[in-house]
Amino acid sequence: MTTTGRNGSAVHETVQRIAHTVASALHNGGGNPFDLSASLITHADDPVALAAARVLGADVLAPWAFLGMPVSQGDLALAGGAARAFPPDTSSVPSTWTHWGLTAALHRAGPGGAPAAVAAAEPEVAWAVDGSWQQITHRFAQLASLAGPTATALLPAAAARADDLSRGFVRAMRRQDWVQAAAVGRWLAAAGCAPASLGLAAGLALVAQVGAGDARAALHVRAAQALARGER
Amino acid sequence: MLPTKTRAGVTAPTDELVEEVEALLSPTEADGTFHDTAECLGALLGGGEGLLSPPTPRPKPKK
Repeated sequence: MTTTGRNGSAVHETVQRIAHTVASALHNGGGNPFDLSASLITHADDPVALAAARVLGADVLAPWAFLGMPVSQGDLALAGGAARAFPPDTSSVPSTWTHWGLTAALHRAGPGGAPAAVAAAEPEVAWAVDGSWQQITHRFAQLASLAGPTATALLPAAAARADDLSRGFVRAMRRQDWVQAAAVGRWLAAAGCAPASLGLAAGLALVAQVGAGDARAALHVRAAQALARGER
Repeated sequence: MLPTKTRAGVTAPTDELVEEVEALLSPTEADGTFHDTAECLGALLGGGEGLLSPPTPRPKPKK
């Protein structure tokens, strides 16, 4: 990941801190109230915090999505502010999809729990059909925040490429690319399509141990484990 | 839940911040050289066959 520049370093650090907080909430369960915005000592409209929330996308609301924990008004404001401050770059698949995922999660988690259909239509997913196994592994890893309990067009697309994603998972493990391994493992868990011979649970446990230095890897592992348990 | 700190001091999303967000959303694939197992096996067998083959016939030195 790029961390050049003062703002870049600040965003990267804040992404790590938010990811760590969310991963801890997913790991520890719904026993304690979750209020991400209250845990950040900063202004509610701090652009760095909004940028970090935009990078993490729907995962900012993961404790609600995965465990049903109540969403604070501050967290809704943080996610909404991130979506408004950083609109999608329509030429970028990850930017478009992650923005859509954040907006859809906001619609569902907000007052009244509006269905996802209220949000804009899903972006296209044709790239998942034609790409090589390396390309779709890389792409699905970028979109891991969308691998959650809510069905999207990405889930059947991931299931259709289960063998390729499994191959990508193994490659990421051998390369010690823990974030990519955890992200792809999260997709395999969400789609429920991992071959038994892959040893996904053991692989994720290994990533949790050796890859915990990157909070995004830890977040993906906790999300994958929650999906494997069938929570929500 | 322990509070965490963020760096303040920026009042609005700058172009630099937008670029940073897009870069973090679309990280590039890590560089590396990867080998296909079947190709490696073929190269190994081919190389082994070459090493195990008899030496090139050469004329005997005259006494």
